[in-house]
Amino acid sequence: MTSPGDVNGEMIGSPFDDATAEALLRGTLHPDDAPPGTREIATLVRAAKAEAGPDELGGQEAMVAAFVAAAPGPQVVTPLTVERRRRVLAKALTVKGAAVTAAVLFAGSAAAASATGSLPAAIQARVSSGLAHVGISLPSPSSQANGHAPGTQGAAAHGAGQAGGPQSSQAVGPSATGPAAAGLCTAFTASGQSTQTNGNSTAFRNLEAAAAVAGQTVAQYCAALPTSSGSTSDSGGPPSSTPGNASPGSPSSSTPGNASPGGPPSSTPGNASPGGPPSSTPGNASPGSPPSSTPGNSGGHGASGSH
Amino acid sequence: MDDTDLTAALEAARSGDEEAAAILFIALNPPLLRYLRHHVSGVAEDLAAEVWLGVIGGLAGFRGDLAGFRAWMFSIARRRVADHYDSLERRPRLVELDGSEEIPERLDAAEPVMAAMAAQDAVEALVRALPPDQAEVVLLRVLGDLSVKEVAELMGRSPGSVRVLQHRALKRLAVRWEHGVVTR
Repeated sequence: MTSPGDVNGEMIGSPFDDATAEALLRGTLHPDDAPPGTREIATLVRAAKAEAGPDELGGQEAMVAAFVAAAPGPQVVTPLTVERRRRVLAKALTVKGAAVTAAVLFAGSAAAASATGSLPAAIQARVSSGLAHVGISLPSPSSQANGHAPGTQGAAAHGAGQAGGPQSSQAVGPSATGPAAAGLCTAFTASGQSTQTNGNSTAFRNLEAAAAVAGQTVAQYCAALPTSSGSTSDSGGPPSSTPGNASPGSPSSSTPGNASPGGPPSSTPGNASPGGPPSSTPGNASPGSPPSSTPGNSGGHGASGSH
Repeated sequence: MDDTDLTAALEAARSGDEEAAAILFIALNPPLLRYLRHHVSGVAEDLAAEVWLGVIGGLAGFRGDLAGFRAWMFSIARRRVADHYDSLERRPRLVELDGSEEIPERLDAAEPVMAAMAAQDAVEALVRALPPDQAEVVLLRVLGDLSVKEVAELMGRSPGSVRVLQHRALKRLAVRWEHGVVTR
């Protein structure tokens, strides 16, 4: 509808020069300094860019866990990580009784599975298949068994160990996830089918996250699970750990560390968007200038703590 | 959280630093969610989770800086929105918005009230009077923190056309408020 040739005509008579427009949209123009008629814009832009509100950080734990799980190589373990996980576990153990004890132990194993370099199988499978059609390759659950076993000295495995979980690096792979889901669902049912009252539990957040990723409520998600744990193979529920029945479309040979070797996720088959297909290719957003990783980066973040 | 800190957080998060990943999430999930809530209010949280998992899944192959990361994240978000409406066999609000839909009373606010608005209300107040393409430019520039060039790439337009759209949007908003459309 517009052509670049319109640019000059459009600018004539406009109350904005480029710098003003830029400052307005970036939110760097204070309303008091805004030209006439733009004060409201400046105010709204700044309000729209406000920091996180109370309902805008849902799923944080699950996403952070996924970040950690997706990282190549040995996981970074900080004392804080271990300590925090232990606190969460201890709290859950004292509050919710036996059902949650089981759930937490299973959650610990799920987290440990994350430390091996994979997401919990249910999430992983869903994500793998869900992302396949946008051209993003993620390892399928079956690939995690021989993925990053050495990484289990990581934080999650640590945490599980301290909680009394009998997890080892071999045991916390895919096989833990089915029972984990079942255990969480058992606890969920026992707690009156409300994740609200368990909102602070890492275990239930994991369950909620898994359900959310599957596009279901927790109740639906649990209903789809087989009733007896450990027999999830052919149930039609979340993908089991059995290699070979991974979600379609995800190469089972991929490993977490090389999900898209050499290929930034810029190829996006099926990305036709009615509003205009995004042609963005992240890899060339700043050609040749990937930010260099400076040693000591990770240590610095503890100070700016977010919790 | 300035961009320097976020750049460091992005790098550390890529290597598995839990704190850094949390910092990144806390900084970028709110604007992502606001963008998604504007387009698909009912399933915004689900789509946000999918966007994050998409980002995380592709991280190993991602080559770029913080700006590239934001652009990538919002390009995934746009696809998820489009996919969502495809699945509903409905046209997205990206092209549907015609200004005739119901507007909450509270969004017709005077400037001092605006300053105290919840972020989502501010987003809606900012773009609700705009045609969809102008609104999308404003959303991506404000929430995505993207440059004209990045928005142009995402929308499949030329930078010049994006500049035109943003000037039209700002002009329209300025005229709107200047002429006392907003009453106390």
